[in-house]
Amino acid sequence: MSTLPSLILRTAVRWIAPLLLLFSLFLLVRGHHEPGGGFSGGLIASTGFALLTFGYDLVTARRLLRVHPSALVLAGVGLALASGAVPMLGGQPFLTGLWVTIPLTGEAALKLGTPLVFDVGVYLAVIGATLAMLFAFAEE
Amino acid sequence: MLLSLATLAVLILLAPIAVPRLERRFGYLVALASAASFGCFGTRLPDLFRDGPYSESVPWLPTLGSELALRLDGLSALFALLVTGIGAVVALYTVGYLEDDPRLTRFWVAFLLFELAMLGLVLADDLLVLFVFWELTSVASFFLIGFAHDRPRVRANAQQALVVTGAGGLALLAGFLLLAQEAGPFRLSELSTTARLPVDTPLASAAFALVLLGAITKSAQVPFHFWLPNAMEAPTPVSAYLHSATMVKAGIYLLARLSPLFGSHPWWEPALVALGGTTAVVGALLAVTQRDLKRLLAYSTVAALGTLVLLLGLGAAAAKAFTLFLLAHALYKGGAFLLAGAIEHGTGQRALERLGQLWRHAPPLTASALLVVLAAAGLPPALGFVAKEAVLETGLRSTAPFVTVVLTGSFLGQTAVAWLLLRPFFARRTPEPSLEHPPHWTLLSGPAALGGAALVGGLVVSWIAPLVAAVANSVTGAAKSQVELALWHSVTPVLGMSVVILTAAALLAIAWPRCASLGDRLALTEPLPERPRGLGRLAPERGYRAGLEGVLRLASVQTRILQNGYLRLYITVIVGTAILLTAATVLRTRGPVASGLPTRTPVDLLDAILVLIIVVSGFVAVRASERLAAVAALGALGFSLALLYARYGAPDLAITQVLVDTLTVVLLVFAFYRLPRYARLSSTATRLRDAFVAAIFGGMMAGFTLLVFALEPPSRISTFFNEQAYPAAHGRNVVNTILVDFRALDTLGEITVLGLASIGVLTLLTYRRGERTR
Repeated sequence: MSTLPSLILRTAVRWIAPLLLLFSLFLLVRGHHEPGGGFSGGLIASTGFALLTFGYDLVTARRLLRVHPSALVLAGVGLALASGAVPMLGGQPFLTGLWVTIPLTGEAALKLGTPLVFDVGVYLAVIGATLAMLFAFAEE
Repeated sequence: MLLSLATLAVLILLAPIAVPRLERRFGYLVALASAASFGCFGTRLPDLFRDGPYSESVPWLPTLGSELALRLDGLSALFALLVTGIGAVVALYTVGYLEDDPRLTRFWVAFLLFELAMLGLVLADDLLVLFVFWELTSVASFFLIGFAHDRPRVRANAQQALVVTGAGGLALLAGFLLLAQEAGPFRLSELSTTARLPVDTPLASAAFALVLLGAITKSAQVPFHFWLPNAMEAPTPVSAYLHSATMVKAGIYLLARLSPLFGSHPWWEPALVALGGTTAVVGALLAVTQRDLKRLLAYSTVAALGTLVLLLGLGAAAAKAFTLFLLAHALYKGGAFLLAGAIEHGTGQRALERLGQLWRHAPPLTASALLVVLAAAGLPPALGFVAKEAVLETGLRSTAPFVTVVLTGSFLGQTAVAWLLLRPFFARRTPEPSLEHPPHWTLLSGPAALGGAALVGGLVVSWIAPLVAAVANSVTGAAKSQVELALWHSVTPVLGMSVVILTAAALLAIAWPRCASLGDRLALTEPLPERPRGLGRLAPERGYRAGLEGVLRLASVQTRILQNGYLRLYITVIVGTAILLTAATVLRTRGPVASGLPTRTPVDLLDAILVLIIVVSGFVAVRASERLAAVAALGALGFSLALLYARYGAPDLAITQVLVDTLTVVLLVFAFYRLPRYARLSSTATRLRDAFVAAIFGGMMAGFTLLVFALEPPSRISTFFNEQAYPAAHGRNVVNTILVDFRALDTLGEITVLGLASIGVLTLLTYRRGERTR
């Protein structure tokens, strides 16, 4: 997109892109109990970067991502694999969900588990895969 | 046993780091490790003779009932000693042979991999473990033959060896599976001792035929012998180790190992005697007509392998002769190859007629050559002499007289080859080939060690009698037996035959130039050319080539049809396959559908509108004459669908649908200005065909959905997920718990596919960019 991007789009993207990224994280984390999850979160985050590519240019979007999208795919699949491998150390089958409960103040408690790590892996892999394609198209 | 395998495995891992630092000295390390293993196996022998076989095992693939089980009995001990002992000698020899070749790392990794695989193969007590090691030897052999991979001929021959032995390996796997199905355990020792296999069932016969196919491809029996002479493109240490002393004997080992099981099969004796006899004679005939030193030795190895198969076919009576000849041949033929390598290394010459008078230039090499030749010819103090006597005696005692004729003929050829090894040293040649440099001591030690061992083996033959007895027990399946061995048996008819063979072979060696020119005339001395002539027209290798060409042609034809580059065809094929598979299932269970269509509920107005939008926008997208209209219509379709999802309690699906649609539009915008003009490229007939496929697919999916509702299975999986989502997976979003917990393995597969797809897109786009700039 070498044509001059509009000022309105550029200004809007400035505000919308970080919001989209935050929202994607929100979707990722809430996914276990409410609609959302790694897949939709990842798609939202990619949309944020797609808007950056529109409003600014490919170079800016790439710089803000910091790493090559394919590295994200690798990290995502690796993280998912690792989260599955952890239970194997304890002699349990591959991909068994393990949970720890961290007590917070009062009644509240935070439950963390390997499925969350797995979902983060999905999130990263989805971002990486969609952005790899998107950047490749944008470069054309 | 496990320790020996582990040591080799550690050395393999160490090689990429250690070889660049130690360079050629890494060979000493390999030789040392092999020699240590040899010592370990050697010290176990007394226990083995006294207490019988010894086993070790580690659990492996428990669900398949397979264990990493190792077992040391007479047969495996003999092979383990050969693999480690000759391995040590050859590793030492390689130090002087390859010197500081830049590809040393690759060589040592493949070499050690082979040694590990071969040792595992002969120790394995489990059919699957044996098969895995069997295939590993083929793979290692491929890399070792293809060592000088910059020459096309080398690559072709390495590929040939891999294809022939690999195809045999597949047959072997099928045979093993049949065997396990018929007899139960994967354990070799149980298979052969309990003999639960009813031998003459069709299944057992099929298993036998398949196993035999695997064994004869590996052990280069006619008509699969052609890969062995071609494998001589490998560095000579490899030829000595793999293609003479050890790997080609893997098939022999397997047949010997399974002979207690299959020995009573009605096909055993005729098949093995016929195959082995033919190979023994053909190999001997081809050997004496060669000009190239290594091809000469290769064909003589083929003859020896045939002799071994023939002896196995004769059954229990030949077990002693089999063992002695196996041991003697491994020693002297390994030595002979190492000698040939030393000659080539020194003179740069391998053609027999261009070599001569080397004794003046290299007295130490001549001395080791004499050791090898005396051992290979089977003159009295040598182990080869005892072996030959035993083999000929077995032949005389067998009921079929042609066995004696075949054995005599084969020995004649093999002994002539031994005498021919003297030509490079004593034949008169003008101009004399000069030795470029005196051979390194490691080059001399190899042939001297193996030839010397084979030569003095006859003197200490009473020492190896218990080993021979133990091997014979493994082969025949007997519990215990005694073997008496002696170097000298007084004057017998067999001794007379030995003398005749030695003399006749010497005469044949003197007349060799005539044999070689006969070989030239029949086109046997060179590797098979593109257009064979003479006897080459009958070569079984032509069958291999025709088969390979056929496979390539089939591949290109099916690629042209199925992978023609038109996306629409791929989609049609995928959809068509799905239709066929699903329709078959739906039709088979159509009874309940007719009876139990879901009851009609009042139609909701909003739903009706959404459905109408979906249908109309589908038509618009298909009929649109502008791209933007088509994209917009597809977008409307997708968002209406998402709304339907949301209304029917699938918010996750709705979110994903919206996001995917959005991203698709975004991608389209990026590509919009670069896409070609929107045009109608397909004819009406094509469109009608595609519409037909699409309609069938849609109709089938609708029918399938109705069927699922009508069937009402006894327990629905969704109930399980609904009930278990919170207690088992700690999540209230059922879809998400399915994705990341219950069916996480599927998700892992999906994200891997997604990543691979993105790499595919990247590659395609980068490739196109590269094409454009060129």
